[in-house]
Amino acid sequence: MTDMTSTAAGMTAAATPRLKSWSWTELLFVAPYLLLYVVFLVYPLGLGFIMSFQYFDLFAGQAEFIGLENYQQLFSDRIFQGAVVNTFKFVIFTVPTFVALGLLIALALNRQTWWAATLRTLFFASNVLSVTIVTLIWRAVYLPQKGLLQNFLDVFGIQNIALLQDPNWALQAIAVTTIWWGIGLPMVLFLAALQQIPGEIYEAAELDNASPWQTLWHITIPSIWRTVVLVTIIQIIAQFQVFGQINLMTAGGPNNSTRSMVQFVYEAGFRQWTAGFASAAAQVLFVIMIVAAGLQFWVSRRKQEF
Amino acid sequence: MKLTTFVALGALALGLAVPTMAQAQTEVRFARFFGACEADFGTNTDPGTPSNECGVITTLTNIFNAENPDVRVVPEIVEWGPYYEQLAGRIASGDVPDISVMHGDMLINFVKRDMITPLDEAFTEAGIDVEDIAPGPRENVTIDSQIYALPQDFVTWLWHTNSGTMAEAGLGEVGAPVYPTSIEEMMEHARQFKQATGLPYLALTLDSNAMSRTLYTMLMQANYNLFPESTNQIDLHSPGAKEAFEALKQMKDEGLLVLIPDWASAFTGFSNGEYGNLIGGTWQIGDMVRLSEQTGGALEGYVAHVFPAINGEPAVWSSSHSWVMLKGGAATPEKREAALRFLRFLFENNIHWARAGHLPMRTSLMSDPAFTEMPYRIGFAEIPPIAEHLPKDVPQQRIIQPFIGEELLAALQDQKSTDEAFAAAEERVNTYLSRLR
Repeated sequence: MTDMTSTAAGMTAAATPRLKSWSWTELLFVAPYLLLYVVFLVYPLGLGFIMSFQYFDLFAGQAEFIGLENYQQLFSDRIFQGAVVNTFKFVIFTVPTFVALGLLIALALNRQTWWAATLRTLFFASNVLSVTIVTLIWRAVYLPQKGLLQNFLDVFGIQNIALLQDPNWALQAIAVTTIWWGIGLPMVLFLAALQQIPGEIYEAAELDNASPWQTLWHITIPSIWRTVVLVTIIQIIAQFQVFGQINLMTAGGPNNSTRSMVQFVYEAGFRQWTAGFASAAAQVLFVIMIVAAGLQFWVSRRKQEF
Repeated sequence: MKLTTFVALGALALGLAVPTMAQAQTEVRFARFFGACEADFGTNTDPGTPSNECGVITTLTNIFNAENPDVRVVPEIVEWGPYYEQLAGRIASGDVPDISVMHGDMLINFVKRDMITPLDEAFTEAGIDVEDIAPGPRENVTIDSQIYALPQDFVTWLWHTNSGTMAEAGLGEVGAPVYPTSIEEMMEHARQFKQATGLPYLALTLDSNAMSRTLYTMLMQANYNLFPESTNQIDLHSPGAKEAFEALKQMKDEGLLVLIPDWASAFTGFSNGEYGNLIGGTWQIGDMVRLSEQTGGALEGYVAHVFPAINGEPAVWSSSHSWVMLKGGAATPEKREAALRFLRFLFENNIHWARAGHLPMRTSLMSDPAFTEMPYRIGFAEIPPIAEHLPKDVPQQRIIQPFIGEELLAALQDQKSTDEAFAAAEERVNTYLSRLR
């Protein structure tokens, strides 16, 4: 038994490369960033975790330990439950679209022509706009009776479309806005990855009479797989944190159909003055994001191993 | 001495003197909402020019700064929506303004936390005649027999009326529309109006606050107590509350009431003559008067009228703006003196605030021709006795108001039943209030 244990331990030690011990010089180089990271991220994160077990009055600066009460109230809160569902729906609407559409546009525009360069610039241009400008534009698009969308639909005799006032469509409408706003970044990341693929591979595929579909599936996608994973993880993290466009376009309505988890946290913490309760909601969001991103990362690695 | 050396020394002396001169001015940091309108009123000192809150308060600040060269009031402007969130952040970080605007219903939340300085002695010191403050606004800012704020106005709920289209439907004359005195009569008027003009009789903005204020007003008219047992527990079970709401819903279903996505669209639609009445607030009167002068006839005979007593006795929801001195602000004797001087100036010039549509808070001004000769204000003399607000001990009224409004608007748009909406509103309010310590 002892032998088996020591053998297993020895195998583990052999499999794991020994990490080089750090030196003071190296620590000095990373110290400025490490300090900022600890002060502005690790410390508030820890403080938020502690606050989630307190009744915390942000104004008066008073805190009272209440154990798991915030979490108990949170999980029985109908509005929070709705916010969790809305956030997941939003991630499902947007993340696959960001990945698929971003890749599609990148594939279409990955060529050295003037029109491709113009379109790349156009697609990326929306990325530099602030959330206020984006929501102003899209509110005007979705405006009932007089909006751009309604004017277009009038041609087909479709009337009284009020997407942002319809609980069945409001979240999708915001998802479209978000995709329009943010598609530039996935596109640029995919373009950068596509340009790293050696041309010889495509030449070899051509000599082997590979179809465009076979080339895409067996050469392009595997070659840029790491970028696909990167874009997916970036978008999962970003879309779980959706807030600005929802707050400005629908404020969580109609009928609570667009309230996201971050908006819930914001409202509970700053508007409703229940910072401890908001912190509990923030911890739940944090765990969901870690699990979702981790799961995606794990699945991607497994797929890569095949 | 060479000329260049002389000029250089002179410039140095001036350079040293300028900061000293600037330091002689006491700065009063003035936190407020009401918007920013520097482009239009940044240098204006004529109080007769502006017609909205932003213009009036900017102009009054300009006048005060011009008349008091030793003081500089610096506005710190925050949008209305997140004002209290920002104020919370400032207080938490110790960056406390010297004077801050505050809604009357928010006072209790700050007073309970011992964050506002009582102003009784300060008013005596500044020469502000407390006896001239109307009983309603004074009661609104008095907690445990102490005055915590200088009221600025009465804010109340009303109907903006296009009396031209109302006259077209036989509902009065241009400039003198006829208003309903019961829900049944409102339905009759609305149908008559729709038949004659093809337009909706009433418009309500999809603003949760607008929905709540409308419900509050109708319940106050029915003399209904929303907090019968405790200020931490709302009761929305009244059949009367549902009946009042169902009347609005029926109007919407019949096309007599139209829901407008936002205030900008509501103003545009109203000024284009697209509906007879728009439910709104006193603070919009100044802008409506200006719009009515610019519409070229579409908005004929604009009239502002206190919310009609359609559900019982005359009563209307009201709130107020007030000025407070938060603890930690105006920390030096010079700053305190300057801040009090500015408060006295606002008190003395309260009449100008009425240009935005508000009622002045000074009793002596209610019968002053300077006020009564403003458009539509003569009819507002009836408001103070009928103006009501939620019990001021109810905490976080500005939070629970949208809870109610959001749920009821969902029912008004057929996204849930009336019963579900009232139950959900009550649950949200009571769950939230029970969470507070």
